[in-house]
Amino acid sequence: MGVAAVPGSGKTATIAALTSRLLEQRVDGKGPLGRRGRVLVVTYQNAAVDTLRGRIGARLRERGLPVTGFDVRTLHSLSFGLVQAYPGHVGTTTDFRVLDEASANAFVDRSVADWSRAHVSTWGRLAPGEGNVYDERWEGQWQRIARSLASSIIGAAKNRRLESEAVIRLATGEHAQGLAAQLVRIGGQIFEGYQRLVETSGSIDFNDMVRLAVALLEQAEDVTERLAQRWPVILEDEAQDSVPLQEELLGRLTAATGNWIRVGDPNQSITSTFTAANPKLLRAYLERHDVIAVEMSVSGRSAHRIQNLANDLVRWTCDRYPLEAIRARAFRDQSMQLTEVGDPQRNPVDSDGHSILFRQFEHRHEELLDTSTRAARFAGAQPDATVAILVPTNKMGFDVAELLRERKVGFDERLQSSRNVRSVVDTMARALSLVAQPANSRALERAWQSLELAGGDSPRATPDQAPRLLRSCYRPEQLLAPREEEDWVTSDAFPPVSGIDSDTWHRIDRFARRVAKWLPAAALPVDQLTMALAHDLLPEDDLAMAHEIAMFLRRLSDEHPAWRLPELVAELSDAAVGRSLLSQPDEGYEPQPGRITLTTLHKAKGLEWDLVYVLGVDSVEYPATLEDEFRGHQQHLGGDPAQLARTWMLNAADGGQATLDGGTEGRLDTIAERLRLLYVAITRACRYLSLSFSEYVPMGQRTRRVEPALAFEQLQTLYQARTVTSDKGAGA
Amino acid sequence: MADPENLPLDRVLERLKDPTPGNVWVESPQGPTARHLILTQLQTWLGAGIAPRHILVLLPQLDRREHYRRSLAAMLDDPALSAGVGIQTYYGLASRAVRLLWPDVAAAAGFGNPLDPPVFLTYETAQYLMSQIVQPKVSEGYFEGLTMRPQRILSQLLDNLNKAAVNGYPLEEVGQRLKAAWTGEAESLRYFDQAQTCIEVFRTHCLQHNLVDISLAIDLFHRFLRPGDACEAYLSQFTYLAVEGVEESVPVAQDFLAHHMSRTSASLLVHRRHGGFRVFLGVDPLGAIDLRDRCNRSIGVDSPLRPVDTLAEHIIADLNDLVQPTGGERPHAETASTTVCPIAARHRGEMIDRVATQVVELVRSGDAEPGQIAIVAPYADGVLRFVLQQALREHDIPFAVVRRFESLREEPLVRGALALAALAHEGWTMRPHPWDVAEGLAAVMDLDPVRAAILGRAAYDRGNGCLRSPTELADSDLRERLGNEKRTIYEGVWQWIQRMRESESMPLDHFLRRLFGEILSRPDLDPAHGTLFARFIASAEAFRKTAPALNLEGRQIGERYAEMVAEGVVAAAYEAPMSQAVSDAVLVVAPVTTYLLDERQARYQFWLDIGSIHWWAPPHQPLTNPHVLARRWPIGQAWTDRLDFQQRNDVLGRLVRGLCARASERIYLCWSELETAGAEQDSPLLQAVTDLVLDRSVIQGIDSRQEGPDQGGFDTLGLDAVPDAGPTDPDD
Repeated sequence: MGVAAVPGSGKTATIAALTSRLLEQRVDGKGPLGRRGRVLVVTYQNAAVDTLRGRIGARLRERGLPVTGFDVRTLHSLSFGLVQAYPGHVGTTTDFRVLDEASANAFVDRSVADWSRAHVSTWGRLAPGEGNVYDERWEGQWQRIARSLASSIIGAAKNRRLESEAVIRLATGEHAQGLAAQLVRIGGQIFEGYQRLVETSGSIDFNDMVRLAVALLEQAEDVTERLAQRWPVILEDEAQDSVPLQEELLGRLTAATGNWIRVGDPNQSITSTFTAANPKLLRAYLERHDVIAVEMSVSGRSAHRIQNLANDLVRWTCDRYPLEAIRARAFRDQSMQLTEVGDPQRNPVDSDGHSILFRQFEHRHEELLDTSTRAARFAGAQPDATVAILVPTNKMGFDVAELLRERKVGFDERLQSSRNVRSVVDTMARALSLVAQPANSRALERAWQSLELAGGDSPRATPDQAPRLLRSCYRPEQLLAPREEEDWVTSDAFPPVSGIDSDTWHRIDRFARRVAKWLPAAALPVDQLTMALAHDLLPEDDLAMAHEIAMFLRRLSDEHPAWRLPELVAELSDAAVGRSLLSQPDEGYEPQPGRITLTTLHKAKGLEWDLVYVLGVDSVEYPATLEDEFRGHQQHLGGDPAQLARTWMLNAADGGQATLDGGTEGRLDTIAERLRLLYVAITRACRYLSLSFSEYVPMGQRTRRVEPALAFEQLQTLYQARTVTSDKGAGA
Repeated sequence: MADPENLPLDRVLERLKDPTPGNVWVESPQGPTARHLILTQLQTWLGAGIAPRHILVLLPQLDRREHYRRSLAAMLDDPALSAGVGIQTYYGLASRAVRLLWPDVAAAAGFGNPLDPPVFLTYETAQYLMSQIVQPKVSEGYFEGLTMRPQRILSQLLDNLNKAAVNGYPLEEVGQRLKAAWTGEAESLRYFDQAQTCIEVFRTHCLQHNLVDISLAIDLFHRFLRPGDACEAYLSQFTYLAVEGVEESVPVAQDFLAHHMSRTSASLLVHRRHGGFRVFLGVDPLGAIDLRDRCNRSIGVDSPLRPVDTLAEHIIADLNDLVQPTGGERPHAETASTTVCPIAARHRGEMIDRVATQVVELVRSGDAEPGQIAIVAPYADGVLRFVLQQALREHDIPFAVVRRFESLREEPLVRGALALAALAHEGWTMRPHPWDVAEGLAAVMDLDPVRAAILGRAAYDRGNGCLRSPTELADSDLRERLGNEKRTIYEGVWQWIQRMRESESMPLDHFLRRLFGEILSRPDLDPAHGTLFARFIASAEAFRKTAPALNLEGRQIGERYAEMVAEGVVAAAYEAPMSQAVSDAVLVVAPVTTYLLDERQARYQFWLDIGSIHWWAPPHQPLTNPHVLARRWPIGQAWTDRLDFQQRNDVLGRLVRGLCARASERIYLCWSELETAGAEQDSPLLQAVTDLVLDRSVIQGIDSRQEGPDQGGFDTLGLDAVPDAGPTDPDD
């Protein structure tokens, strides 16, 4: 069964209700579960796991059923369990490590560097201009291009279960002429080096994990059969984000029973240009003759006007988009319907005034300043309502965050490196630095800061004397390891000072007792030391992040046997490394009334607010024609090399002849996905919506003029037309 | 032979007081009964005037030998007699015979220098030698595509050598067996060929250089020595034979027993019910049962089903149901549920905290003495040890950790000792890391980490690779910061190291022995450190003795060894003996088999991480499989997933039975929903017990979180803690 569910139509509630009904039947041994079968719910993100578990649990309790009989997994946790259970079948051992993203990136970097050293003339010839000679600037640029190319090829190839050799073979020979094929060859060679590094480190990356799980089911029929007995019904949430491997995995698990229920919205597929997800997969599934397609088109989330605007975007794109190739590519032709009287979740009522604003600013700074001011005012004036600022890039988000901080406005940040995640790395780096240098007073001060970060203390009214005092500590040994036979007081560890209040001494004393307990943990291997400290410092919800840090340090330690804790901590403290670790998805998030949410468009998915500001709706963020400017585009290479190569490789792997060249395909995909992203942004709003852009925007070191997004102009026109019609109707 | 006649223990003991010649088979429950039976028999034989040198006692593990001797001495009128009794493992017997009868075997077996003495390899030196063989092969592309750390490849290859030896078939058969059983992708068959090549090269190298690894010692004894007259004469002295734990014997040991029993005046074979925990090391519990037919008498010690045993029966019924669903009721569930208490938490850290709290509560309330509590886990990582240690120390509750040591380089004591060795050997070129020097000083001077860091920074001259003299440090404030006593100790240490530097260079193991004897050993030295250091010395000594055959000489040897430790090539890979753990302390043991091979009982057991896949051993590894390599495995039979599944359930069932047999009052079942990295925990064991908890709803006080979705368990998951790096010594 396939369920196409529009935004706000209640996907989670539907999944919970279905699970509950199946489990109700299980009590009597009826239905597809029999007496011992369980329901497996597969979703996309960890955050959704908790939400789904909670909702299903609540539903079961309501029905008086025991909260048992179902499992909620992400694709990765499902695959991890399978591979860990049968490592021998798929060429690994039970102690394999899952490569954290930072380590995977580091392996890509190393492989890129190795390849680049051995092929100077190859990448030299790809430089812009006529000369094709080595130049330092191009070398730096090439490293970035190669990194992006390699990541794209590796991800796409693994999702097609292509090994590096196969990739290179595809792009070798007479049929493989031209730049795109050459890029694929390069990507394949870097992939080869990367994979060697991954395998010899005893690790598998995220793609491998799913690939191996699929290989396991393919080879081990008994395992597949047992899993099918255990999970006779599988519900797949967010199916529009499904990657080919996920489809294959779940397809194999349900091959015997046929009970695979896919719930998703093809129009909210917004990860296909940078992951292996493909919106065509769900659409194709919905159209299969053996699949019962169910439409969930009633949505009670948004007010009438906002819902109309979203529907207008779909309709205009499907019917009248200037590029014909986009009409069938961007959206599934479906529209949202208002809820009817009696529905428990009625649509909010349209406000009397304008509930949708299209705003134009001269400079980007004005756009950000005005938006943050208005959002703050709204949050203050309407403490029961929720409000969000949606930005297209993290960079823009950081700028808005700065403005909000300047205004001392409280807000939740959901950017690439959110404050919370950054603080976990900082906390751990500071705590570890004391264990690495216990006799160092700076390290004492940093450990104090780590406890403050971990505790999330609000700023003190008066400057805290303790950190400065700790920095002046000249006898750390007396503070952290006082000799029992000596009669001492905390202040003996410091030079004579005056004006320190007793509370400060008391807090320092408590601090010293606490951190002294960390020091014996220095005897543990670095990953275990990290987790031991994290256990003392962090709330349980942050431990998964601490584990990432632990694995990162463990890898460094394995790679550099001569390094000890001081070097490892220095590396962790390095800002660039810290940033590379900050790629964890946010765990469950609920917008809080009266508090602004600042988020990227991608992270806004699945959430809703009363008022939504969508910033930067311009032609750079939302290119509309093939001639527009695209991010990552290299003029002299005819497009984004990563996208060119990926498209070429996938076409070649399918054995088909592409009707368009790789560059055009990639640009069309980008145009389509940005339209869906705008659709997602609009459908986050319940009552009010603001779309804005600026004429002059910063680009690197300069400022340049940009046009509004084509969709912005069209939606503005359509909205005004509807308003006029409605006013006339009202006047009549 | 018919099933044994079951009698109460006192009547069985009575029968063993009859010195009548003959072969007796006794079935005993798990626990100390087996030792009790053997000691009674020995007392009878010695009391009847049998000379001790005619008695051979075979044990499954060597570390119990001293326990036996002490107990026997205490029972005898003349305690000195106990010293003359031969107490051995099968491997000990074999290697002793090889040493004694080397001239008989050397030429026949094809050794290159039969007139020279053999060099016995330890697990580490064998691993080193194997790494020398495998490294060039890996560069040629061997094992490409397997995701394994190099250490794992080495240990699996050594496992293959050992499996051929303990099963008594030619080495050449290994690859053939593995290939014939393989049901996965044909492409993977090449790995077995590659593994075969490596082990054959290894064996050829051993023969050429007179090196005898564990597998070769067993092979020489089984194939060359035993059939010969000289060995027959040597073994004929043992006219009385007692075997403890015959179910833990390997096939060639069973061959030996079958043959030797026919020549003895009397034999006692004690078989512990439901044992055979080390199938992964090649033991054959079924083959052991066949030996019963060679006995004149067969007796069983009564062991009525206790409430705790019903838990095992319940779990096993549940596991069987996964193989062959019956849907039937569990007859023991009600009783079983009265003996268990769940400790469940969302995160692992939380679970450990709760376990600590519960242990403290048991002791403080007077319900239990520390020595009556055992905590078992598939692995005892640093976080577990650290958190428990902190909690129990806070309440002055003694505890002992028995765990597996993975790598010498992760032991601060070893790193520190090697740093001091480098400082004491003027000729060494390596300059130790300041961190290691501080660790070394901390160990020899019993310094806290802060003062060790202060002293290390002041005293270590890295440029010249030496310690500064006390005179050079006279001007600093060290005296004040370290205290007079430590300052004086530093002078002694410095002088000692100077003497070492100035004296003739000595082998590393000699240096370590002196370091231990003259500096390190103190009355308050942690016994675990003593054992670790002894292993360390033995490891360095074995390496030195093997060095000429590895083309190393002189100074190279010590430095190369130190490098190997730093690179992690030297895997400590041993489990601390249970005999070392004091009996009046809370016992923390990992892996579970270590606990089961000992006879210790507990009133309260805590089973940790029961959701971990590590409870459910996967026998099948990419390069080895103990079942397929077992003698009784029909060559050509496929290793199917169904068999794999059954075997793993069988092993888990044995573990559970063994644990229950060692608990007298209550078992705390402890799990967390998420493991450290944030992945869901899932295992058949968890499924079996959560069914017990949730379905029966008889256990009170369960954490409210358990009202959330149950863990379900996963009928397809599981593994052993460190299955492929286990000590390859089959008997020691």
